[in-house]
Amino acid sequence: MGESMSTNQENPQPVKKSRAHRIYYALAAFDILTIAASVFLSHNILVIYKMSVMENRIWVDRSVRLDEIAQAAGAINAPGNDIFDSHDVKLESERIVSASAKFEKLMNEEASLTKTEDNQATQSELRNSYSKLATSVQTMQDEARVIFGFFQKGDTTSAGRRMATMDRRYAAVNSELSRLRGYFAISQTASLEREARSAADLAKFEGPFSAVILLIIILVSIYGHWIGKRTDAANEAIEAGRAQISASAKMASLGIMAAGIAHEINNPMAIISGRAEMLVRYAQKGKLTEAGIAETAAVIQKTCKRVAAIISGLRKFARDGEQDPIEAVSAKQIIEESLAFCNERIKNAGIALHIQDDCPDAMFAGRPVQVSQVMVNLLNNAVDAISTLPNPWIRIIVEENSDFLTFRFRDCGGGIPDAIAEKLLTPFFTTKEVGKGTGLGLSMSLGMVNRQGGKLYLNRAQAHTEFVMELPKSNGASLSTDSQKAA
Amino acid sequence: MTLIGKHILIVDDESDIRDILRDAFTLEDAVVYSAPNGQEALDILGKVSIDFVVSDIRMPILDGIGLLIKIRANNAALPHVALITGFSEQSDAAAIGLGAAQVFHKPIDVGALIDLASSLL
Repeated sequence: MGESMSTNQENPQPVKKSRAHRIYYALAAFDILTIAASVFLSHNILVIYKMSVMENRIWVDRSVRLDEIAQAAGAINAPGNDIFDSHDVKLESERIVSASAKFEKLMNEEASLTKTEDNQATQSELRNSYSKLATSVQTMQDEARVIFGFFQKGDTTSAGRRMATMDRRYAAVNSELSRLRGYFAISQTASLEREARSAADLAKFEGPFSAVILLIIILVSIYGHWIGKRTDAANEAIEAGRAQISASAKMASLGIMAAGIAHEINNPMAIISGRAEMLVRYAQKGKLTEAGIAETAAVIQKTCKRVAAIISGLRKFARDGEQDPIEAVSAKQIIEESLAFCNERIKNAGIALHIQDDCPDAMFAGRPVQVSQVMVNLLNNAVDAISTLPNPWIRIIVEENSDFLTFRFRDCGGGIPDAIAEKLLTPFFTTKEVGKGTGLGLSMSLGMVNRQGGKLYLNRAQAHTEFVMELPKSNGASLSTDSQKAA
Repeated sequence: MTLIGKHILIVDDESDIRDILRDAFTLEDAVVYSAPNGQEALDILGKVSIDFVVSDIRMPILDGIGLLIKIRANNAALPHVALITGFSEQSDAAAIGLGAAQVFHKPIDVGALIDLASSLL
């Protein structure tokens, strides 16, 4: 035990812990940097996307406007033709004026947008083209007025001849409109290409980012695996420690019992030795009778059985008992067996022990070794708690109901304060002074009772201190218990 | 140097031990009284004149040391008290300091106990 403790102390746990923290922080920092860069990259891509959408919308608007300009130009051209049907100069003149006003309004709007064009060359080309369009439309308009002039004079022949000129003027207008559409297409393509280049510039980071993220995933996986191994090792160490502490607690419990058992065995030895010596003394005085010999032999035999029972009980008690099968156990017998380990201690502490067994034939289903261990633990705790009180007493009460057999361990103590009672069954909680208690007895007892389908609790409703152990009643025959014991 | 007619009080919570000691002193023709604890022993001491007390140390209600202290509180010399112990936290010297004639360890040497009583009475 000493060796294993020193080995544990040499284990460089703190160094490993600090390294683990550094790796964790490095990975976390790396992770934050990558996430920040990814967010920055996503933001820029989103900005490009928004710009692209806006750009497209502008070009769609301008294309629509160019179509409207084309329609307005067509509307300026139409009266020059329609006059041949309507012969109404006034009406057609008004139509031209109206269409011309709309054309000028649209052209002004478009001109203001042309000024915002980034590319100077494109801006100049567009301005030139719009200028040519305006001139062509104006020429077409002038030609229409010439035709109207012939109609006013009634010279429809001359008017008809000017129709061909009018068509040429309209063709020139359409030609400028086509050129403008061409410029629009080129400008739109150029701006989209610019955005595509920006996006491509950002896309260069995709590869390195993916690599970094992959690296982080690999490092986190390795770290996780390493932590997992360390956790497994730590858990194993905790389990080993728990087993060791549990063994220590049991050793401590055995130590307390050993003192009691020493007395229990010492008295029978004194009886056997005393009886033997008395045989000699009677013989020396010539007073040895057959009846005396028989009586002495009977006492010696009875006393040897008493020692054998203690030794048998001790052998059972020292076993783990966890793997024992659940069997039918006599309540009366288990109390007697348990008291063999602490009777002397109770007696020496001057404690009066009362057993109130209302159901002497009752059986429960459980592991006798563990139930005995729990009983001894509860009784030892009671002895520790009340030995200094005036007129101390312990009462063991056995009760039976439909499903459970209830053992009450009541003592003269005035109960346990709520603050302590709440922690009472938690491992390592103890009110005993250092070295006197491990704080494991009750928690281990609770675990043992629970695993047998029973309950262990402090009865706070009772004015005196009372622990209650409930165990499932057995409907099995006691014979099976005996046969298992024999096995 | 004889125990004939001497009043001996045996105090032990173990009836088999009491029986052995009673037989041993009865064989020497002493008059034997017995009690299962110190308190009952004090009751007997209050009623009967006892010459020699043999008491176990570990007993309920009132132990052997408690009994010895109470006996010595009444009379520094009498009766003589021999103590019996199995495993006592009280050292023999401390018990003798409190007025015990001798401390016997279990298993008891009955012959030595009779010899002590004979030499004192």
